[in-house]
Amino acid sequence: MIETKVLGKSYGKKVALTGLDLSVAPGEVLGFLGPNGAGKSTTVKILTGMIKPTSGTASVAGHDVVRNPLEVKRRIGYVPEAGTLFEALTGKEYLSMVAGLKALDPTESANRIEELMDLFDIADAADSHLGEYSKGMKQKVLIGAALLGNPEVLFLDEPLNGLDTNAGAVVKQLLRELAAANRTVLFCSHILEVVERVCDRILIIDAGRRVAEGAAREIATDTGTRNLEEAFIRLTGVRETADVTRDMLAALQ
Amino acid sequence: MSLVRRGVEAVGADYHQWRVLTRAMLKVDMRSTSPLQVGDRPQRDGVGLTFFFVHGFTGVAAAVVVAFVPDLFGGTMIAMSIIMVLLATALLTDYQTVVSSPADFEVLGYQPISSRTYFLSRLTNLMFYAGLIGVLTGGPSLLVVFVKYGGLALAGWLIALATAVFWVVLIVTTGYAAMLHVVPPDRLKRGLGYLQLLTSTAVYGSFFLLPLLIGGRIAVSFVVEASPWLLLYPPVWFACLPRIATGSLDILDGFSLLIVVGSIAVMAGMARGRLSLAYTERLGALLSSGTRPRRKTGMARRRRIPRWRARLPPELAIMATLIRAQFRHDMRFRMVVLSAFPLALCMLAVPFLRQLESAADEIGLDATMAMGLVHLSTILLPLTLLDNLRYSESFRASWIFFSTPSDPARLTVQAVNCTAILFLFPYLAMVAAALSWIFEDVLRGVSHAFLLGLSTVATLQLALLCTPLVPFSEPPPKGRQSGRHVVFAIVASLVGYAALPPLITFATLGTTVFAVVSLVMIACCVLLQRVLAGRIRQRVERIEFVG
Repeated sequence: MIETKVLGKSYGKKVALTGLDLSVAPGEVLGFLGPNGAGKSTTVKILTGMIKPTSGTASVAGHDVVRNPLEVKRRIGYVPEAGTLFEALTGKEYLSMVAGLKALDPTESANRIEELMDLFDIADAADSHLGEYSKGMKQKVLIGAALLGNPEVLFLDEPLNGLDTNAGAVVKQLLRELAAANRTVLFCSHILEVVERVCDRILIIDAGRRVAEGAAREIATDTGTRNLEEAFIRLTGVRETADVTRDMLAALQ
Repeated sequence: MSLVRRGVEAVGADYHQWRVLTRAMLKVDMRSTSPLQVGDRPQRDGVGLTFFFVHGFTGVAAAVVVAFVPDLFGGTMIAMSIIMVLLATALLTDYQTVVSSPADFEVLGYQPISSRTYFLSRLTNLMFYAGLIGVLTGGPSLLVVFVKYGGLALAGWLIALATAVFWVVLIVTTGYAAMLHVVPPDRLKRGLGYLQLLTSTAVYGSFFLLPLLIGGRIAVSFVVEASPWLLLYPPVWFACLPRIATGSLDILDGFSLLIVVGSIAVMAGMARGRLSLAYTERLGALLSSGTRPRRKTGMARRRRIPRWRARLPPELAIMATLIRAQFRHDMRFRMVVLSAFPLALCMLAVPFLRQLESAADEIGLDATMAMGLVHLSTILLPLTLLDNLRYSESFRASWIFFSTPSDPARLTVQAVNCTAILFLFPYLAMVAAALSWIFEDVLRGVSHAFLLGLSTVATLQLALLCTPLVPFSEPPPKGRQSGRHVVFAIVASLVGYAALPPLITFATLGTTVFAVVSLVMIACCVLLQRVLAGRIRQRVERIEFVG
């Protein structure tokens, strides 16, 4: 459902991604991890048809992202990390706009939007401008927009950002249910406990390259660590955490 | 199938998506919101009464010109100049984001919209405003033309107005579109800046300078001398259309008609070709690649803050840093600054082209008009820039002013000082040099510029007293910038044409008078600074950051 072969992207001399092979099957939730600037967002932007790769190939839902970006975009839902919205629109208007752009039936989508806003507990704010929403409420709108049209593939970049515990629990459960319904999910997050619980398989990248892949336990075993967090630090950390903390405290004084 | 639907589908756009997106974009424009709250109500800054008032006022002014200029051609040409310059200014300052705002990419980049649909929707959005500006600025003239010249002239005027509006929109959009096509993403920001500078120079240059260069003396004295060189002046092409409608067809009319039809056909063809380009992707690349990082040299890494800079008031240093960063990274602010300088420089150039050095007395009408332009430009430039310090794409970052022990009132006061230091003083130095050359008297030129500078600082302080601001804390408004420009131009004209000439004439009567006038003006500025600080502190105490 998601497949890349030696995918690469560079901006001038700066290499953001190099030789990435990736495959996610229908019904699978892949945890896509990496430190800041590792190339996660670049990969997701390529896979969602926002930018073009400089090398390699990528296909989503059976369509090449370079040759058929519109076909790809029709079949995906995406929650971007930046979470930018047209803040002058109301929550309802924004979701209606997304439904219109996805060419969904107006009556049906209106019902679906009301349902989603109700389920996410933002129905009371449906007619307020998004600029007046809290971070968590905006995130709920973004997740709702991604789910509109029941897409085959979901790209979720830090979807739990700003969500309260209840909403977070709903999203985590929802991911499992969507996977059970044969949807493909690519899940990026820095909250490793959640990744461990939600994802079938984990791929870690650093400096644009793949550094580990497998189930959380397998990665920990391969790196000789106790859990995913330690494995992640071992694979991607340049310095020991304790050293960095000590230096920071020294700098503060 | 409706005509609109057919038209939209003819250019390869999706009709339903176009309708959804256009409606959403218009709503977004109309309802810009601010994170600041004054008292109990949020500060809203959408397209408002100012837009209608200012453009309507300009329309009435254009109609008065059409009514009083004896022939149809002359009146239409002046009215078209006013309408086209106002529209071009609006496009350059308010609506250049049509093709240069990467913000849309973050929201729409992953939605299933083709680049054609996106661009057409943006173009419709632009045409809506251009049409509205056209109706407001040209509407009153239509009435005058009908009463004065009859139905045929009215039909010609209507066609001239519509084609002029369409022509201005096309020339600006194809310019930006071509730039997006040609320039690599990492140089796009700089490239768009150069384009803005070039377009502004062309627009203002053709309005202020071209008429003088071709000998027609159109902009200032309202007298048209027939000449084939008039064809270099775009409003002339459109001014010929009502004349053709009333039955006249001389060589000037014929060539004008050909140029109008030809240029629109060429630009429409270019725009249609450009529509097939993946605009969103180019803008996305601009967003993803950002600016090219500068390589740090050993010297740069070791560089220390100079001693004089360390002694500056912290708020002044902060404002200077903010303005510099804003200019580098905020596309809208950069575009406004880059379009303001050519306007000021074109105004400053008028006295040179009128050869005032031979008639430097400020009593004659022509000399007063030209000198008034110098005053106007000196006041207008910092006034426009100061006003723009309130807006930023990163307006939400203004929480920092409310969550740190900084004093927003002091920051705001320093905004005036910073504007004066960064923009006014260098410009005044140029004005002083220009006036010294015109008067052939350095002392007279410098003293004139000195008094002009003091008056400008006082005007800036008064402007801030009327509409206090917290720097970079409001979202950029759409459709208001050009309207505010006109308000500033009116204020600057009142000061520059009415108040300053008698004051400066009086002050330069003798050394003692000059010293007394200067001291009084300095005292006024100091007093205003104190009043301003108090007023802003009062205002800031009522503002809450709710965003």
